[in-house]
Amino acid sequence: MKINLTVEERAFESGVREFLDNKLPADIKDKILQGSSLQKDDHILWQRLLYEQGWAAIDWPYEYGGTGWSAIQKHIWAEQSAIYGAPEIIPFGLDLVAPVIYTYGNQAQKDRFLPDILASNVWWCQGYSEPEAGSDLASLTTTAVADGSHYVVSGVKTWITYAQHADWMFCLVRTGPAEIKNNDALSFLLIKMDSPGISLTPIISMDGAHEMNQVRLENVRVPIENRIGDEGKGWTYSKTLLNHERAKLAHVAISKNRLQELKKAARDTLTGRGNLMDDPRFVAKLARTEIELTSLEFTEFRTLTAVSNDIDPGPESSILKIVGTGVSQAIDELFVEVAGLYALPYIDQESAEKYAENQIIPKQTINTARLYFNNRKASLFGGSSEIQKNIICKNVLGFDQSVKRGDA
Amino acid sequence: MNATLSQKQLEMKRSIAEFIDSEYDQTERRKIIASADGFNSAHWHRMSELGWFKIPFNVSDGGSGGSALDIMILMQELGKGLVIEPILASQILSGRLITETCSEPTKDHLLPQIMSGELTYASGLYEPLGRYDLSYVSTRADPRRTGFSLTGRKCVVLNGGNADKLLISARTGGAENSKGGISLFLLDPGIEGLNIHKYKNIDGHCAAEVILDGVFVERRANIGELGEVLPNVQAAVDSATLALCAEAIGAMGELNKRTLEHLKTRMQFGVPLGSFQSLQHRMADMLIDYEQAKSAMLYAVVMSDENNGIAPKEISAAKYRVGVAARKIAQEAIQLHGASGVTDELIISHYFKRLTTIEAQFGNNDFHLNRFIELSRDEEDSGL
Repeated sequence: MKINLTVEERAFESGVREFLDNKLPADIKDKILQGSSLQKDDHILWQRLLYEQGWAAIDWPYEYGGTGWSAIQKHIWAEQSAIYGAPEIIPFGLDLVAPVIYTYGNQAQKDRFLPDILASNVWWCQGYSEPEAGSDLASLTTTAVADGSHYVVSGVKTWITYAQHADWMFCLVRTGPAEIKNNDALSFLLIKMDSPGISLTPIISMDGAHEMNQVRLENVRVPIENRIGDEGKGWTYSKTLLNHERAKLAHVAISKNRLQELKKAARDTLTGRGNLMDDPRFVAKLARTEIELTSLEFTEFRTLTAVSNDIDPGPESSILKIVGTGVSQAIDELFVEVAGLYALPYIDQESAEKYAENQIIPKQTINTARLYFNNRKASLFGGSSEIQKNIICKNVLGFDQSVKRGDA
Repeated sequence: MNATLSQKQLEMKRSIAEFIDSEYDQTERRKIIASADGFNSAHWHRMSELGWFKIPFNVSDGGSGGSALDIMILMQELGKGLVIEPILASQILSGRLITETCSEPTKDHLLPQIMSGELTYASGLYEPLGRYDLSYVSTRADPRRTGFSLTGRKCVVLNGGNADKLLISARTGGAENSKGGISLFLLDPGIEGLNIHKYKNIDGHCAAEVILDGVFVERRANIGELGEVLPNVQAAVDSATLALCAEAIGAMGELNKRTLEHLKTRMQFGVPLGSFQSLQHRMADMLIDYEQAKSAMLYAVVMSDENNGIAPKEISAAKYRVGVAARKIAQEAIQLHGASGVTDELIISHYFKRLTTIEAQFGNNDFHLNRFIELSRDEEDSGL
């Protein structure tokens, strides 16, 4: 998508590039562009640099420390960040819990939590899913029972990304009477991760990474003042904000940059009779992906424009998540295809450096399969693609969800 | 056109399945993958005792089978159990290279050690700059007074780091990618000038980069006709490709079985997941893909057995169709399992990794689609 920028927007773009040129640490940039994983410190370092620049919370209201940028400015920022290899923000604090706090929290909560989130002084994780409640959040069973000035919280939360790094967890917990089985009995609770009664079990994913965890809560005492908003409104609060969040899950800028890298990689891949860009079948797949991505970019742009005009993007934002995930996973697959046999070696970072240095195994394909494996989660997390389609069916198309069952 | 199993073959299938079910423990398998060697000799010997290693060979060569159908039976079962022992690299690919190229006395010398499992083999046939083109051989075998000097490299050589013997294709004449001038050499891994960089693949199987830097071999290290082995190499790779298709079918069948079980038992929204029609249809699509891929594979098996082990067009069709199904089924199995599907703990992700590997080996989907188109064109041109 080519946008004709105004003089002001072009000046803004230069400013963004200058910032990225000067401030983005070279080692972090290398890791991002090679598909290696970042350490906790890398994320914090980058988010603090953004904070110092006043760009940590792109989408927050200006009064709380947001940027007040237009849709075009946000687009420029995302695009340049992807080209430069800047890390994406870890969303749990800045993008997920903060909007709930500044929208539904009281003044004391805003004063207590927002500054530390903005400055990345605390690391947050999200405690929604449970072993028996994946897509079906209404059947959450983690309970919070009031006891004087505290809730006593017990249950098991799972698939918690970066819980091992987290200082705080925001949770949906059941506060209502047991006879209310649906999500009208869920409350939004902030829990300190070093509270007595919390234990973590790592979950290793298929690419060998430790990102996810199971978090067990046994009679954890949480001050009632850590509840955001009213009892029983937790699901409503988080759902309302999900429309905004999903709009960001399309990862368009990153996919655009990866598609350019993919073309380069294909051109550099010799086939014994020319390079891979001479293969019409491969080139057609590349072109189809590019067309889908450009269309997605414009769909996203329409949404961003609506948001800038204070119009709720609405459940249509589910489209962005479904298509964005599909495009990013298609790009993963094309990278695997380009790598050919060299998609197969599974080598740790340290050996990879050595192998690459001695020209034994090319560096650019080392993480290809890992990224393909790791990103399978994209269509499952943040509401699976199936759940997104349910949202479209119910809230956009107006289908009666009570007849969704095949045998009904 | 017959893919019906004989009584003997049914018996063999049952016995392999039984072993994998009762003795091929997944915890043990994980330990082997995590170990430095990536190989467990106790397992290997047990498989030898069971007679598996003779299955790919004709009775006239001292084997117990030798047909594509025999190999299919073995590989399908190995696929179900995610067996990581190097049977494909050693007995099937290298074994076929030897039976294709060697004289009777040489076969009599080499094959018994392969069929007993006493020695394992690896074949280095692909190069970094040639992608999946077997005729792209830039590794040179320059004549010396009493033999050859080999220089070049072979990439992602299956079992390359563990093998007791290596088969390497090298050029004794012709340009880099000409079909003529390709020869085959049998090497000991310890030989001077040979550097083997061993690693594990994403599916836990062992592989290696094999770099030859002026490796001197005696004249007798050359097996097969000097400069003329490309058709033999192609036939052996086709045979291994078809074996891999059968393995993929075994793995996909297992994934479908486990995914169906999950849909029927996992409760969400107060009902089994499988009560949602959209998910039922997804599962139906997985079954259709599996059956179509299986038919493509079976057709290639039958054609191969009816044409003295040569069925390039049908094998490319099978590899393409199996590859398409493998990717779809592996991805859907994870998606329908939800987040637990992406964990290392659940075996679903291990099937996913094996199927991803299979798709990339011996030519990926695009490669075989292109090859199918070319072979079809050749057929039409020759008026067949």
